[in-house]
Amino acid sequence: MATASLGAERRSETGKGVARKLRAAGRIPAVVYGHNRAAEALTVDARELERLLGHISAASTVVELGLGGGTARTLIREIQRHPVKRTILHVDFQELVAGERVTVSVPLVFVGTAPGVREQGGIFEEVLRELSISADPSSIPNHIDVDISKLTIGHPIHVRDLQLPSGATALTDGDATVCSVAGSKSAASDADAAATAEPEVIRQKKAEE
Amino acid sequence: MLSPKRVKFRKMFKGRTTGIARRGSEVSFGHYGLQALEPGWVSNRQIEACRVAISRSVKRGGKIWIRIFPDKPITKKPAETRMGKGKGSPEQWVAVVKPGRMMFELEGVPRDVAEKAMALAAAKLSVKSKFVVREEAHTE
Repeated sequence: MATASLGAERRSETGKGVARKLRAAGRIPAVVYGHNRAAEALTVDARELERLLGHISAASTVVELGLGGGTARTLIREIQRHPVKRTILHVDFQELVAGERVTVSVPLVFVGTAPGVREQGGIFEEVLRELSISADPSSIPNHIDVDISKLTIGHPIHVRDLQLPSGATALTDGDATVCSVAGSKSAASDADAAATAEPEVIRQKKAEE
Repeated sequence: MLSPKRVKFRKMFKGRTTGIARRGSEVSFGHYGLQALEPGWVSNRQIEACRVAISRSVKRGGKIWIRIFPDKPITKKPAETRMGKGKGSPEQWVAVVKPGRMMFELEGVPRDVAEKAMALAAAKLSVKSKFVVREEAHTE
């Protein structure tokens, strides 16, 4: 389990005007919520958060949130980003409760080279990039390794084939495909650029009166 | 070329493009993407040219996703026609693109190959665009 720490401040004002002013001042609006606790509006330092996200796996790292005097053990649940600039707009933290299992999405890391790609000339397809698991907060894995050194065309790896850390259970269906090697298609035909046909109009005009 | 199979109306108003893409702005299927940076219309000819450029550039291997669809008909009056006498006939189909829209995605090729393919595709488009990579979780 990876942990990190981050400073936060409580805020009393909410709304988009306040949020915009905060962002202009280098702070990011955030919220912390959890079981048996009221949701609380916060702000975090934009630079500190960007630096933190640069070296952790956000979905599976426990963040010790410094709140006034105390700290709260949290998981980052959502990061909203600007669609074009990719700057962070808002962050959700979920406070963890000791002894209570949490549902987290853990990234999958594909290890090795698939013989289906190297020898059979297929295309490696990652179907799942993250796996949803239920685990104790103290034993959330940083990532799950997927060994693809025996992956050939027509024999995909399923969720049930994965080696999960002890105490973790997969919430994704065991029959779901994790990755596969697809047969290489011949280069897409360039000759199908036929002239566009006129589409059918769904509702015909009423008969003229 | 891409075009709708059935439509409710043959002709459409021009419209105005405001704001940014709130949906379809993430790399959702592949590993690399080509993201629009300005609003505009992308025609089905341009989309087809991009698809051909990308698939020829990556040669074999690689999987392409086209995440825009030209569903807006554009009309044009014939040459040397006097004004009036109604709206022209549909001539082409375009996709309305807002800044941030992920137009193409690619997977199964190394980064340098993807960057080259997307640069070739970007040259075929009438909107400015940038090459983007899926935001990966840090797993070290």
